[in-house]
Amino acid sequence: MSHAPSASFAKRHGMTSSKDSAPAFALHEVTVDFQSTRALNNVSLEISSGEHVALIGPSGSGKTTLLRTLNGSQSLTSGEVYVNGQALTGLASKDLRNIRRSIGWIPQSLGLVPNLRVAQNLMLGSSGRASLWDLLRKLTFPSRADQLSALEHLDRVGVGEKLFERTSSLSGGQQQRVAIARTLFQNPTSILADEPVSAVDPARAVDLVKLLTELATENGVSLVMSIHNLELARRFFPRLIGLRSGKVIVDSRPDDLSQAEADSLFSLTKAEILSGE
Amino acid sequence: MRTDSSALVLPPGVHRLWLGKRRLFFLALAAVTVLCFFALDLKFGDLIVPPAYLKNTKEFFSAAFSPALNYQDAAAAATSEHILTRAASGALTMIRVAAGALALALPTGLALAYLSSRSWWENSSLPKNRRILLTFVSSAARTLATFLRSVHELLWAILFLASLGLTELTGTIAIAIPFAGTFAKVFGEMFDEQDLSTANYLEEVGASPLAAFTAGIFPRAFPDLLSYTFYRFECALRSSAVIGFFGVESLGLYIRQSTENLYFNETWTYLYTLIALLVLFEIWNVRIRAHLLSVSGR
Repeated sequence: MSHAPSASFAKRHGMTSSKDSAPAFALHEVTVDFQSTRALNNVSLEISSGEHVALIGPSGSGKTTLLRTLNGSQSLTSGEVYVNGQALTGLASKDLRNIRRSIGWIPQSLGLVPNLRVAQNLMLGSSGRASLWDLLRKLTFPSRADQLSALEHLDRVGVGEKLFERTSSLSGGQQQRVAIARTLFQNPTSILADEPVSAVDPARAVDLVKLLTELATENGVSLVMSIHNLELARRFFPRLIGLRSGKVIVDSRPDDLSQAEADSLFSLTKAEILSGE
Repeated sequence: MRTDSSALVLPPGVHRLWLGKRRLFFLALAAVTVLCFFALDLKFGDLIVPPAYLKNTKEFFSAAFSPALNYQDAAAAATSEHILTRAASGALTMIRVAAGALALALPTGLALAYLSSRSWWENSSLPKNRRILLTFVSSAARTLATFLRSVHELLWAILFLASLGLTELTGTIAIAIPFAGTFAKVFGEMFDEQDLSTANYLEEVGASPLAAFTAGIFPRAFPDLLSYTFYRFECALRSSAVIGFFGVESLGLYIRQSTENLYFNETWTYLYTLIALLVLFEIWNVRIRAHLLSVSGR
């Protein structure tokens, strides 16, 4: 089942109905509820192909839910999500998996297997595209071409010499780079990154965000990254989307973000502090 | 922001922090254990060995210092193979039975563990009917695993003696059945306790739940699975010795026969062989576990 965004939505957000020129992601009045908590509240936005976007906002503002919504792994309470012009609602899980294969994902926890070699962790990036048998073959007897491809991607992120090292022996920063290389190995058209630099020191965070944005530009892929650090977001992303209590309250270029808007994003109310949000 | 302490009121409900329902349950369990001890009517005086047995006990332990290098029975010495050859052959039989049992139990247990584990599909985006089916399969696999391990290998051995006779196969199957059930339970729990971050990542990039399990959970659990398998091989070695007591030709049978004939020096020869075998295996096991831990913890 393939759909372009609705005419009204397309008109309102300047989209065309053609699938070829469709944005990488489009959300139309999306609401997500977790029991009594509203994680996303009537969110509509569009992210063009090749665009780099930073999602900013305090913990619990809905950034991760929004990222999971973009790749169709989050069930919606209402609304519609389009990936490259294709509506995700009603798709069978197999079709959804097909869409996710072209969307890279860098989780906060990185999701690396510590007792596997770095090369094997990179092979996991192709798990969506490969059959189970192929995946097992890649993990146990990777072809020379696969090994060279893994080396090439690791080299691009600066840890080529770690190809056959055990992943647990790498530092935190090196593991972050391996996670980025694994995403490149997937050969995605878009990359979603969920707080990838929240656990590293400021200097390393700058390096990693710089690396990720440069690689995304080189490969011409869309990049949506949730990030706590407003300064980093301003420095490396041409578009900032600010979330607060599941609502988009800022959607602007970094230069256009006023101090008042920034303050409204990150200053917590007493109720939010007490609720742990 | 601070509230006046005189205006504070404790929320309603029970505030016995030291004695909740769970602690009461464990206290009751401890009380039942003590009651069982008294119900058995155990007498510490029974531990005193009567003089008639004391002589045998003394002979048995004295023999530990002079294990037999030849049969104590002259007739056996003339007709049988050398006692050390016999001990080595009995040890080899034990290894064969234990290895055979594991060869049957390991794949069966692994398959049942995979079917009973829920972590790999519980949080995935599977359709409802598939979830219902998997819940049923998981429950059935858990029930089967419980059934297999609920009967001890010695009881299985007695049952199979009647149908298969006194063969190595009897011992092998008797050990394999409960071990398969134990593998299923322990492996299943190991799978369910693994960090799901890799499996979740794999699903986010389009892998099927089966691929996410195979590539995301199994490799993480592998060092634990391997370590536990080695431990169970050690258990299987001990079990194969015990099953020998029932007549399956192995060290266990030789130990029983020599004890019954009061050839305690021979008994110690077989016991030392058994102990040496288990110690050697334990050294190998410890080395492998140490290697695995260093690998996964590096």
